[in-house]
Amino acid sequence: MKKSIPVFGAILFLLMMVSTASAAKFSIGGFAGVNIPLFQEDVKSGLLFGAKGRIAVLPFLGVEPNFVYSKYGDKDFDIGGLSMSREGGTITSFGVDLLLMTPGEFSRGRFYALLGVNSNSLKRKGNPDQTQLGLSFGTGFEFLPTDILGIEVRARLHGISLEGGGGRNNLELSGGLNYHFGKQ
Amino acid sequence: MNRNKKKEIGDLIKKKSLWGLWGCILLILLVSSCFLTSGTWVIIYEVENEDIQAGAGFYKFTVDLTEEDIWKDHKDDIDDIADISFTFKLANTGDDTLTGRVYVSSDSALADTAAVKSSATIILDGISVAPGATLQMTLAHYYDLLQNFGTLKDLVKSGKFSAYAITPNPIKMELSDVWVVVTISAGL
Repeated sequence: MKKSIPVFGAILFLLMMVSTASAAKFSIGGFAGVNIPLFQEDVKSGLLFGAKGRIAVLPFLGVEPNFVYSKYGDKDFDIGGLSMSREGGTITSFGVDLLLMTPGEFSRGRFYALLGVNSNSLKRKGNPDQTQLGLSFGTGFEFLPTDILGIEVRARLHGISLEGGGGRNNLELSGGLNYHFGKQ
Repeated sequence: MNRNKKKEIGDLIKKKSLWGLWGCILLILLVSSCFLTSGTWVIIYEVENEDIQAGAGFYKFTVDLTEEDIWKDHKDDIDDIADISFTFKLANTGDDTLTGRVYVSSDSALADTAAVKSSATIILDGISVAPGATLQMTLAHYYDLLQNFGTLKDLVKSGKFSAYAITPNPIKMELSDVWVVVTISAGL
């Protein structure tokens, strides 16, 4: 993770430069929320946070490199009358989402759908660390109270394949702020 | 039809096509990516105290998950064993500190500690119980001591395996309240 953060920062910087040079619109943002495991009996919901950049390559199409750090909550089991807790673990994810946005009918807001791929590092005490491919899709809404600031809410389904087969699926609900370079 | 009207219709078709394309991509992803349609289930398996057998210098018990309802429900769709843990009580009824190890094997007929050490796989090392004390192995403590998770996982995937608890020197001890917690990853 320590190595990946500078790489992610460099990618964002590069995208910002490309964006500026090509006059495509660019924004950066941070977000936080909750990671809800779907159909997983062994973990509970946990918190997540992340950062992303977005290039609007067309009025309705955006490309969004992103970083998400999410946790699973510890799960309590009743084992022979004793309550015991199993650590949930963490996911560090780097990926790119493709956004299909509603064009500018709404002057101060827009809906979008997203589809993306990501690389996910899963860590859990007692289990070997693994880095696996993931897919994400979902929807969101960004409200633009000013020309440079966006307030965003998002629901993203994040599926991660596992080394031995099968996978873990999570619903990520988040909210955040975006800073836009240039007028929208 | 005037030019504006044609443009409006063109834009509408373009928008609908894009959303249609988007829907198709999602559908393909859902159908083709099996990991998007899998989940995890937890089996909490009790080893009855009377099923724990004392051997030559060790305690032994066999875990048979194949009779568990969750296993039966998902046996044809099991992708992987996501997690396995053991909890138990270990009482040291002797006068010396008890140090112990736990091994696992597909062979339930290992006759002595030499056979266990040579052919079974060690999964827990560093168990220590003071004279007269009783250790409650919790999940947190278990994961501090766990090793060879990969081998254990492969063994559990068969649904049936044996575990052996041994001590370096013959010592008075009592193993009881053994539970095995298995998380399976399987198709929905």
